[in-house]
This record gives sequence, structure tokens and C-alpha cells, in this order.
Amino acid sequence: MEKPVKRLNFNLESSKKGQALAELAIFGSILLFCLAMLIQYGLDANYQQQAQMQAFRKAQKIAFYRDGPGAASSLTLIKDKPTPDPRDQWGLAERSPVIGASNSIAWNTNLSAEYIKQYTEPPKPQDLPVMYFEVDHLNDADRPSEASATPTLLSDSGSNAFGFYTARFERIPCLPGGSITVEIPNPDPRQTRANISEYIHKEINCEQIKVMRIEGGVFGGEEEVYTHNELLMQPYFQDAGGIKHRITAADVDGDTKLENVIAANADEDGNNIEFMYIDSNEGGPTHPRGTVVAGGLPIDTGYIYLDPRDMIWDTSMGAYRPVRSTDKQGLLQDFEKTIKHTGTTLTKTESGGTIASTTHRNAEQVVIHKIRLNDGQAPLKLPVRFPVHDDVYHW
Amino acid sequence: MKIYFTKAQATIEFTLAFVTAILFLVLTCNLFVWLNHDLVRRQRAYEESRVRAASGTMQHFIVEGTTVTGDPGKLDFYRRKPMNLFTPGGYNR
Repeated sequence: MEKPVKRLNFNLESSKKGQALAELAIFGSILLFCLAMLIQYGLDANYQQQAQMQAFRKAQKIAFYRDGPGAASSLTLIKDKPTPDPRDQWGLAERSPVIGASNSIAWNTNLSAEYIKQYTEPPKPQDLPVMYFEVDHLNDADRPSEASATPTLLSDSGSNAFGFYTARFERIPCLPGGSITVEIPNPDPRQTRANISEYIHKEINCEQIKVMRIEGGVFGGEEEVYTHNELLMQPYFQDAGGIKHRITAADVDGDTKLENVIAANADEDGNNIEFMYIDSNEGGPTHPRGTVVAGGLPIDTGYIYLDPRDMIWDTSMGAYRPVRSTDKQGLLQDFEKTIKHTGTTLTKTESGGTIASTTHRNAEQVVIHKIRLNDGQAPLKLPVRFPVHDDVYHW
Repeated sequence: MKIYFTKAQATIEFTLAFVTAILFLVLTCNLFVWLNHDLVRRQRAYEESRVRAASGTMQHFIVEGTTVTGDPGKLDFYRRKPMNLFTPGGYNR
């Protein structure tokens, strides 16, 4: 009767015709989306598991083939796998998930280094723990020059494997009249049982420190004090009770942190003690009194002052452990990723009653992983450029 | 006449859609179960092979120059079970 009602009826009938199609389009796409998400989840978990297994195998291999006596070898394997994302309308396999796995293995622990057995030669770099980073498996042609120009590249076991030593051997003299702080086992059995402290710190004058050749003898016996200038020997001191304490952990450079004392050297009179130590906290080539012997990254000697405003919660280390955001070591999580679409071409062919169109879409992905080693070290960037690939779509 | 036909069409549509939806549900569930169980099976097979890879015998092989069998990186003997997506109960059948 009235015009608006008629028009309304007409519209309703018209929409009923397409209702089945609309339902299919909506619910069908939802169902397919669920299936695609499930497949993506499965692929992600699969890649993650594969990376962990592969990292363990590779770390095992590196540890075995190293010449050293079994210092720990750590490997971080980074893979940028192209994972299909159903949310991407172009179906571009974005290399978004960074898969990292780390393992540390010490092999051949029965063999000890020459410097530990004999104290007759300085330690070598292969006696130190080593850390490897392996970033994807690409040919050298696919890798930009920045990565290969890494100054601390120590191994070419893989085209994208980078080995690092994070500590170094250093020498430092115990100045006449000076003193060092040593760590010795707590002699009080009650405190040890009560688990108060198993070790105590004791300040020792340099004159009290002796060096001992332990080759062929047992520490704590009546060995003569060996004072040959060329040999590296074990430092010790004798307390008031006559007990000899071997010095293995001591603060020899005055930074209020303990260093691992490997050996010591002295002149013919047993004076002018010179320690050989590993400082994994700080130190380095510019240390005011120390001298680098072997290995190690250039380490910033500056002390780190903690500012509460810069501190964040590192949840991976457990609750309530503040870590300065710039102090995070190893592989940093904030990687950079860029996808550059280098071009899209559309070709259309008409033949008879059919029209076929093809779209070529070129995309280049660059992923940059940042690795930070030692205090104050600027993040080392390892860019990985994935080759241009054609995504071809047909309609 | 036209009204009855429309009602029957809805029943037929519902039946077909219901069967398809159930099939889809079974497929999705089976795929999910297979994915998760496969991860577990693979991890288990892998860990069982690690003892051999790290044993002293394996070191001996490497020293002797056997590169393939003695390679600790290549000891992984895992074969996936086929997934029967549309079978109720999945791949365990």
C-alpha cells in the first residue's frame, strides 16, 4: 500500500537469496582460519624443537672437536624460519619467529690443560670457555659484508657461526707492600654446618705469598719452594696455624670482585709475585696494571653504576631480580626486522571467454640480531639478508 | 507446495552442514592431537639417541676416522607416524 513498506519487503526477499552465501563466507572463513592457526602453531612448535635438538648436536660437536681440555662450549642457534601466517592476505611467509636455543657442554674433562698439569707454560685460548652464535644457514653470497667483518670471529666452522671468548688470561703483579684478598674455606665447622658461609675472605700481604711447584708432589706437603723465573707455579700462603692455603680465588686487581687465579710467577728470591688470572667481570687490555696474555674480547673497563630508573625485572632469572636494561648479555631480544617490497607487477591475459591475471610480488626481508658481550660492549649486529623471492598469485 | 519444499531444503542443508562440521571437528582434533604427540615422540627418540652420541664408543669412532656413524650430530632416527585425520581416534588406530 504505502511505498516504504513495499520497498522494505523487496529488500528483505533480496537479502534472503544471498543469506546462504553470506553464511558460508563468514563461517567457512572462520573455520579455515582456525585450521590455519592450528597448522601455524604446529609449525612453530616443530621448528622450535628442531632448533633445540640441532643446537645440542652442534654444541656437542664443537665441544668434541676443540683442542682444549674440555672448557665449556656454548652455542646459540638462531633461525628465522618462514612461517605462513593466515592473517596475511598476501600469504607472505614472514620470517617473524626468532628461534634461539642454547646449550653448553664440556667434553674431555679427563684431560687437563698443560698449564694446569705442569704450570710450565701460559694458558692458551682454547683452554677458555667459548661461546658460539650461529645465525641461519645462508651462503656467503647472501650475507652482507658487515657480518663477515666481525673482528672477533674466531672460527669458521660454519658460514654463519661466530665464536667468542668472553674472558681472557691476564697477568698482574702483587706490588711490594700491597695486599690481596683471598677466598679460603671457612675453618669454623659450626658456621659451615649452619650454612652461613662456606668461604671467608682474608686479606694477605704480598710478602706472605709463596709460590710452589706442585709437579710430582701433593699440595700441602713439604715441597721446596721453587723459584725458577720461567715457570708458572701455584701460589699459596700459610696461616698462623701452619696450614697452607692454595690461592685459587682472590681479588688481585683491587676491584672488590674475585678473580680465578690460575698460576703465579716469582723471582729467584720468591718475591715480586705476578699472578696469572682470569677476570670474567671486567679488566682487559686497558687495565691500568694488568697485561693481556691470551684470548678475550675487548672489554670495557668502566664500572657499571646501577641507576634504579634503568633497572627492569628480568623475569627469566626468577622473580625480584633487578637487571639494568643495558646490562643484558648474550642474544638480545629486540631484534630488528624489515620487509621491503621491491615491486609488484600485474599481468592480465584475455583469451576467449576467460580472463587470467597474475601478480608477482617481490619481497626482501632483513633481520638483524643483536648480541651483547661483556659490560659496556655495544651490541654486535649480525644482519641476515634473505634473498628476494617472488610471491606469485594467480586468479 | 512451495512452503514444504523450503522446509525440506533447510533439513537437507542442516544435515549436510552438520556432517561437514563434525568431520571438520574430527579433523581439527586429530590434527591437534597428532601435532602434540609427535613433538613428544620426537623428543623422546632424540633423547634416547643422545646417550649413544655422547658415549665413549662414539668418541672412539670419531678418532678412528669414521665420519658418518661417529658423527654425534647425525644420530637421530625418528620416523613420524602417519596421521589419519578423518578416523575417529586418529593415528592411534
